[in-house]
Amino acid sequence: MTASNGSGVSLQGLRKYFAAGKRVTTAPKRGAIDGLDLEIRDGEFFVLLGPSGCGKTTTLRCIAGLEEPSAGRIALGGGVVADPAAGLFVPPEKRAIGMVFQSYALWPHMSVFDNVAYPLRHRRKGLSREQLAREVGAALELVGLDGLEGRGPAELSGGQQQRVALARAVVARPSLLLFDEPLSNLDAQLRQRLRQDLRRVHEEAGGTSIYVTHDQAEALALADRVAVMRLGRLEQLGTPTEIFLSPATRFVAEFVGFDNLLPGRLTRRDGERASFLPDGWRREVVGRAPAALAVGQRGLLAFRSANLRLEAGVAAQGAANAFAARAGAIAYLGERFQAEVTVEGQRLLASLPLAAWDGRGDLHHPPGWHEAHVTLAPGDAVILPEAAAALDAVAEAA
Amino acid sequence: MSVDTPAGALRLPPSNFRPRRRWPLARLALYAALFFILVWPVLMLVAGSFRSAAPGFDGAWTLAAWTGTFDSPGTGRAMGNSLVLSLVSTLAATLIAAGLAFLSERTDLPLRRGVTPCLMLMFATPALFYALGYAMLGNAYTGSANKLLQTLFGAGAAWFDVETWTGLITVMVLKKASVIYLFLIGPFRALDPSHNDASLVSGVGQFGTFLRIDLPTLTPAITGAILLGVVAGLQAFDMVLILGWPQDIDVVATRIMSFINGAAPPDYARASVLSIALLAVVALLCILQSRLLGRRSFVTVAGKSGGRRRIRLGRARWPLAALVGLYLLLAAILPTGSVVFSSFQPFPGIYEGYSLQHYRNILALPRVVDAIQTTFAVALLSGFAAMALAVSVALLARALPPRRAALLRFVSLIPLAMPGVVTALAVSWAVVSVPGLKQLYGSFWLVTLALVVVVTPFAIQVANASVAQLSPELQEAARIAGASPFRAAIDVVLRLIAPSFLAGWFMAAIIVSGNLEVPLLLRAPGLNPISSVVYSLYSSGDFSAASALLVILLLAKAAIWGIAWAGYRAWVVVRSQRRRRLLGVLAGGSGAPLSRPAAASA
Repeated sequence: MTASNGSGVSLQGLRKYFAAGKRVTTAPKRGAIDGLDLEIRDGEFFVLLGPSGCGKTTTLRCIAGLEEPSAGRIALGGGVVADPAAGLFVPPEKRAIGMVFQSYALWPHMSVFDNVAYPLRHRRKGLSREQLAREVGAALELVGLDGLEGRGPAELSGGQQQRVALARAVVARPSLLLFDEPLSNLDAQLRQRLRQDLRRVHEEAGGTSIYVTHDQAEALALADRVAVMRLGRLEQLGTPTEIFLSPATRFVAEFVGFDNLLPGRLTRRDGERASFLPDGWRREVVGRAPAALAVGQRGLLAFRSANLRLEAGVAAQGAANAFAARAGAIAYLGERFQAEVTVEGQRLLASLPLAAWDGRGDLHHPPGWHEAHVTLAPGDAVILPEAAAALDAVAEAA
Repeated sequence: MSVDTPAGALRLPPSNFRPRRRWPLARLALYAALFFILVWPVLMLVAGSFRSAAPGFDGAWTLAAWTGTFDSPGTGRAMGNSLVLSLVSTLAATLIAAGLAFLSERTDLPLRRGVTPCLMLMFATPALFYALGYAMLGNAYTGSANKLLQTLFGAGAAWFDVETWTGLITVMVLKKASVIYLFLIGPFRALDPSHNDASLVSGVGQFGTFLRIDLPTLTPAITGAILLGVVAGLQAFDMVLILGWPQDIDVVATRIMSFINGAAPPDYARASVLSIALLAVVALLCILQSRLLGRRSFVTVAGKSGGRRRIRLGRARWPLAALVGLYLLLAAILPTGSVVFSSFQPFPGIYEGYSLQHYRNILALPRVVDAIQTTFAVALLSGFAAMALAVSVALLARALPPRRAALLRFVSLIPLAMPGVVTALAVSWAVVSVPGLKQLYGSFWLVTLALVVVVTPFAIQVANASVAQLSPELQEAARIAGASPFRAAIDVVLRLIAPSFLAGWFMAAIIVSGNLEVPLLLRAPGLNPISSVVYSLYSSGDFSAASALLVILLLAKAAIWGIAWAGYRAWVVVRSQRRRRLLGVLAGGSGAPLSRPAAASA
């Protein structure tokens, strides 16, 4: 049974290089891993998040045993399964894992029953026919899909195929479940429903889950902890709230939707609260700053347009983080309006609650908003060290 | 973690799990087989060119063949002939093929849907059959077409003679057009309709658009097809042997054979030197072609051909259709008809007393019965071996890093550059070079081995195409589910590619059964497949018997095709019935999922 150290996953100095074709290059290749250290706890739902080509899928495939790492160590539940330096590699069929693939990878020549029974027949040999049928039935019931055992995969809808793939992954009760962007081929509504089911299956199955995605909303909904990856390295590790509210670098900030970025200088600090003067501004902005950033250092102010609120009229005298603004074009985003605004001579994106305007008149030339101001809650503004920003510029140029 | 795991969670592997073997045995064996079948013969061919004796005989190392081969006037003339034949026939065939592809794919030509099936049939017909058909049609004295024209328009000199340079080139053009057509049709079909629409919207007419947009887009494909045609032309053998011998027309491939079969003692060293020269030229052209064509090699039918607008031919529709019809008549119907017709004639040139006598006669010959058995055995065996090898290569290539996979694919295409004569020669050298395998020389197995090499590039194409359709994730899912690599290959890959494997096996067997060079050159005693019996009947003047045997061969192929197809249909029906029955049972007992019928796990 799952012991206390049961099914944690440990990656130490994991590296994976791909042959670079004809020329030898030092630049990291798409999907390569460049020295990754991760400790994934037993029973955790862990999400690897990043843009395509950041190495998240390669990491997952190394854990599964579908790729051999070039260097480093992988341990599952305390047992080392890959250590190229020691010449050790455990093939995927000898690792106690289940996996859901992006394409579902259901075998078209087998019925739903046979697809789900397959891992039982190989991982738990010697089950009687009745036991087999009971286990398959239980797995299908867990994913909410009993009664379709005799169908072929081609006769199922996308969502049903997804559920069969999930049943096949959990049926042999592996202590580790791997998900490779399993929801990316489904429409938005179905995705939301399956997301909840995935989390429920994780709770009921009781093992560890590792989930790869490029969709921040999925990560937010599913994860206990999130690792943001970039160019084969770990960029930030934390709970969903930490990642989404307190990004540590410009890359993470941009990836999780901080769409206003202003370079400038830290002028005053009071614990975590700090004042920041964006270049060319006459007044400071108050926000949160990491301890590493000292007064006088250059940095980057980041905040979401959703948190920069546009309001009509002149700002109250002396109000913190309130700035006179001129509104430009307005776009309707469904749950709010987004407005282009000019603050201190700089163009920013701000938002306008639906209630604040009836939407009448020309969206692109809104009437009556020339006299306006924006406000920003200090907790919503994050001040990032510029060292990271400089690194970002280098990486982007490469 | 307890040791005696109940039906609960799986145990994780122990930390001292045995290291993976770097070179699994199966993979090593496959590499060895590939090396011996594809690379070793070429090496031994080169070595053989320095030997003074035939394969398997004691001899000395010598440079004599290298200095002597190219001096002889016969060799020079054969090389010149090959070049002229290849270039002229390719250029003419490309013109015809491009015209046909344009008409059938881009215009509203009547009957255009019949063009591709017709040309596919021609492509599949062995050159031997073709050459014989024309010989019987256009022989100056007994050709049925000559006779017919003489009867209609008054007796006189023969209207034409197919057994001349002009006749040979004409026949080659007709046949080669079908090959090149099949190469061009994919690219013609894959043309992006939106490019055309953009040109039409810019005010350029239909034909202007074809000339300025389509044709430049197709240039690489057409150039590639021309190179392919030239390669095939340099390797020409059967047609030259049958239509060229009355005029003593010699090309490189027939010259290589006459070094061995026509000289006493056989001059294997010179044959090897000439083979190497041919191999080198053809390999160069092949590399050039793959550079030009890139990954689009062989018959690829890709792209969306959906609702594209076709060029309206207007009043030219029917005249052009008549022209296409004339080509099909000349290139497909007449040669086939003449073979069938002459198999009923008592003798070429005699137009009465039609009977089944020839069929009775040849079926009474023991050597014909032997030949039919041999052909079946050789064709089925070598077709199967080639497909098995090809599927292994395709699967292995997928698991390898890109560069090693590319090397593997390149190696598997080596025989593409080797005409059958060269393959037979090279395989002979290879077999005798290995102690213990010498007994194979002159046996059924040597012929089979050589034919496996001949048909491997074709098999590789079929295997690559079918393996490429399988997502690697299907195999990986089986590994994750606990199946070993071998088990995953059986449960998932083999089951899914079985239909294309069978189709590839069948087509490879057909290609092999029409091969004349290998049995002629290897001359295994007492081992004559149908193709070499047909040839010997023909060259001894028994034209009608040769025709009858060819018709039997054709009928046998059609019968196998029919049986295979019917079997496949039956299997599909049975499978869907089984699934329906299963569904019915499950639906009936849906209230109690635990009492699931045993049929579900069958």
